[in-house]
Amino acid sequence: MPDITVSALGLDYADKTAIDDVSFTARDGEFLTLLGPSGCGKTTTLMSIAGLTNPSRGSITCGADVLFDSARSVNRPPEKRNCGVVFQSYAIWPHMSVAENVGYPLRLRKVRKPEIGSRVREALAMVGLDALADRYPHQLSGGQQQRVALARAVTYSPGVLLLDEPLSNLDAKLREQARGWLKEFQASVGLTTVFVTHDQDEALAMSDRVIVMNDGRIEQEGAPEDIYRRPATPFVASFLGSANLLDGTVDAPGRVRLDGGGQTVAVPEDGPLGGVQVMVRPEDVELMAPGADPDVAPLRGAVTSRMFVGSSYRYVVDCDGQSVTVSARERWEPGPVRLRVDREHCRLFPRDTAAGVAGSDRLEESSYA
Amino acid sequence: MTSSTSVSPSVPALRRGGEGGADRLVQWGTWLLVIVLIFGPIVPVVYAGFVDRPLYESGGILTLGNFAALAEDPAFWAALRNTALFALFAAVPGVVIGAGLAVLVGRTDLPLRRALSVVMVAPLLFPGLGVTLGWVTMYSPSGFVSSWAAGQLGSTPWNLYSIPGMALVTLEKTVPLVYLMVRARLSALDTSIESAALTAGAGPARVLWTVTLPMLRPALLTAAILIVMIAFETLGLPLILGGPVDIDTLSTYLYRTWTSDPERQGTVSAAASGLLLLVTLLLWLRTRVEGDGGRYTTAAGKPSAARSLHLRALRWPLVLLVWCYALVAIVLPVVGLVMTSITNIFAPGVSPWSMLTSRHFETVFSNAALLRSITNSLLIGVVGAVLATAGLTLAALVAHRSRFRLRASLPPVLFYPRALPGIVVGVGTFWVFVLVAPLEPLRTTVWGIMLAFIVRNTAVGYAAIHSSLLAISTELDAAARTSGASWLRTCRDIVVPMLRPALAGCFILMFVSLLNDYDPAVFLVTTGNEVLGVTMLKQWAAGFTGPVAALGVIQIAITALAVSIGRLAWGVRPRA
Repeated sequence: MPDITVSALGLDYADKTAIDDVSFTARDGEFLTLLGPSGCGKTTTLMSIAGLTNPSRGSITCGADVLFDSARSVNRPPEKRNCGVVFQSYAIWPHMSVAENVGYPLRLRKVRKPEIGSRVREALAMVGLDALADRYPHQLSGGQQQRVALARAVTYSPGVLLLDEPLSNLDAKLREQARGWLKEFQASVGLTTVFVTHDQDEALAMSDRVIVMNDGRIEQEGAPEDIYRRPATPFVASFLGSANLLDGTVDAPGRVRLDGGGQTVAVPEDGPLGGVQVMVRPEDVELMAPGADPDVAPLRGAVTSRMFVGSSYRYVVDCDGQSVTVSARERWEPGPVRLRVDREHCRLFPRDTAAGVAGSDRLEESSYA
Repeated sequence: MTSSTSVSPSVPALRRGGEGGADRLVQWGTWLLVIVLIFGPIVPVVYAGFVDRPLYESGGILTLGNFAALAEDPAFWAALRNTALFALFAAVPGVVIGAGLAVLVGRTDLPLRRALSVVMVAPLLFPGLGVTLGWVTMYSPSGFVSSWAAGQLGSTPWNLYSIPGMALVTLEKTVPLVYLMVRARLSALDTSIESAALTAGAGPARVLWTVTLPMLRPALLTAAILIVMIAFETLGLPLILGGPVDIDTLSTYLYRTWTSDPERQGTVSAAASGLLLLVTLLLWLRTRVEGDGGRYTTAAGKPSAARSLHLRALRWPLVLLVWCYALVAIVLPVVGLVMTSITNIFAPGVSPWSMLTSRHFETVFSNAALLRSITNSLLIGVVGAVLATAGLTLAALVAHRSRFRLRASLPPVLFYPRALPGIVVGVGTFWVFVLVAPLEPLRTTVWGIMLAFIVRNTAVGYAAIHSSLLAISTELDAAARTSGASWLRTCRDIVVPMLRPALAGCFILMFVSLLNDYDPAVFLVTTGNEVLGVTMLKQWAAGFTGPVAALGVIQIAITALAVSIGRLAWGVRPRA
């Protein structure tokens, strides 16, 4: 399978830039995810690869084939790009049976009838729908339609598989199952895959590599663990999982004095200086009794609220005016506590980059839908 | 790569190069055809208004003289004034009655709503001339109802041969149009806004007046503009009712000057350009009022959820009033038409049952010219509807499903013929056939008339396709494109099959419109290419009302048959 390389891709509408300077490579057989809130340009990027959207500049190549290049005025129409696409609505043709849907791309490629039959059976068997070949789309459930769309997208050995939020139309339970199934399927066909989603859990669970996009640009690119543990910007920190962002000032290497009461917190030494935001995830903060050793748990605070979320409790702790969200298994009552912050898991962002984060809340839940 | 892949890579590669060549050819071809067909007939009309001699004479010099001559013609100003009055008299009662009926049927518990709804829309299928004849038999000074009224009151309080009389007869067509437009708007409105007013303590009448009516304002305004447009362009009605008493409207002024005074073709063209400009402005105004969003809103499917307001004591008086209207304005004229077609004389004082005859129908079927007008109209209807449906489908696909550079220009152009007065299309087509030598043989054939009719009715068919096309998700075509289908192939395999019910609808609507149209043909008909409407007009002018009525009845029968077939075609649901 060839690599897909997107370089310096940009798309301007009349008065707005939809995507700007987007560059990445999806390597052979890789499961690459474009993650971001709606309107961040991820679907636009995907549709540009498919040839369904015309970018204003940049280039897209698939192996040695140039699919799009604004400098050389190359813009191959979608039917000549050999991409397999699964659309958000699945786009199963309602007037064709399941077998006709899956066989249509082969018919277009002038494959002989008997061979179409056997290939369609093969593809449907792969997605576990061989018994439903003669059904019509309206007789299928959402999950089955999604599989038909997938079978249709891979029968003709496309150079790349493009998935546009294929799981977002399934209900929560089914989505969980489909996640694992889709990942296995992708690994078994070995197709280079570009997957678009706004769901961080999906992205983290399925991808080999994740590209986080915001406002038409790439914010960060890396393996799921990497991005989660070491977010490059406050946006990424708050979009993937939840993150506390505490305002403070670096007053000595490895020490930040927090705004408000002037308490200090130990942080990694290699960070920016001056005004900063300290990012720490709720699970990396530990609650301790008010009498605990200040060397172990240097921060004083007061639990103001507690929410039971099933596997744990979620506390909001007031720390001299800044609220800190803490996730813990033990039950604490509202009142004074001490906090232990895991130094290794803290990240520092210069204060001015914080402008990209919506709202002034210290906690940014990834509630983008 | 974990290549346990069961999808073997031996699939033939897609052809490379020459990408989209055929697609682009079809798209350009369609666009050019649409532009030429729709603007072709307009160009010579406008041009003729600005040159100092007829178009067939060479060496014309550009001039404004024609407009000056027009401005000095008192007959023109009289016609303009008459038309304005006619439009006013037609629009006000048309909107009031049509909207009132729509609200009663759509929003209240009026008994027999269903039946009323069917009766209200039926006149849209009636041929204009036939119905006018029906009105004449009932309400002209010597008509049945008029004589009865004169017997009761001493004199007839109305006069059909006057501007208000003409406006009265147009109600037949305009009320159903307003009714449909307002019903559509009503069904797109959530009834909860009315329920909210009811729970706030307003009575039903007050709710209708203070909540429902203001929400309908855009629909009412559009309907009024539509009626004014109709009043300005209609030809047959003012010719028949206004002609005998020398009341000219703009269209009859154009028609009479054109046919009686060939020297003044320049003036006529100048007037036609003026008329065109006026109606275009009205169309523009109408689109402005409708708003872009409104045109595309489809009624959400929640009919059962609609709450109706209780009329209480008003129920039965209102039912009586509404059905009286239906009897007077819809049923009686049709009865008059049918009776005229099957009696020797249909007049007050003579029992129609003693006068029964089948001779008018015999005349129709034995007279070559009359029979030919039926077969010609059918031919134009069927062939024209097939061609128009094919062309409009292609045009709609280019406009909404391609990336063709000029695609955005197609919808307004295809809707524009709503503003093309029939006479302008007729005169324009005539000029094109005279001036463009290779097209000259078409001038005296049914095909020439067919072209003019198609041009005039594109908006009808296009609207039928366009709304269904917008309802089909573009991801369905995108999926075919990425699967390897060219644009044309995608249209053929994916979009058109899903569009089938809409295409059947387009075909039926075009057939009915082409069958009943006649305005543009008045300038094109000669011996051999007669069509129904023009034959009826000429027979009537010659005093043969019996055959006119027989033709009208036949026209209604064919239309009804076509529409019933269409119902079946629409009823066939796509698998989805």
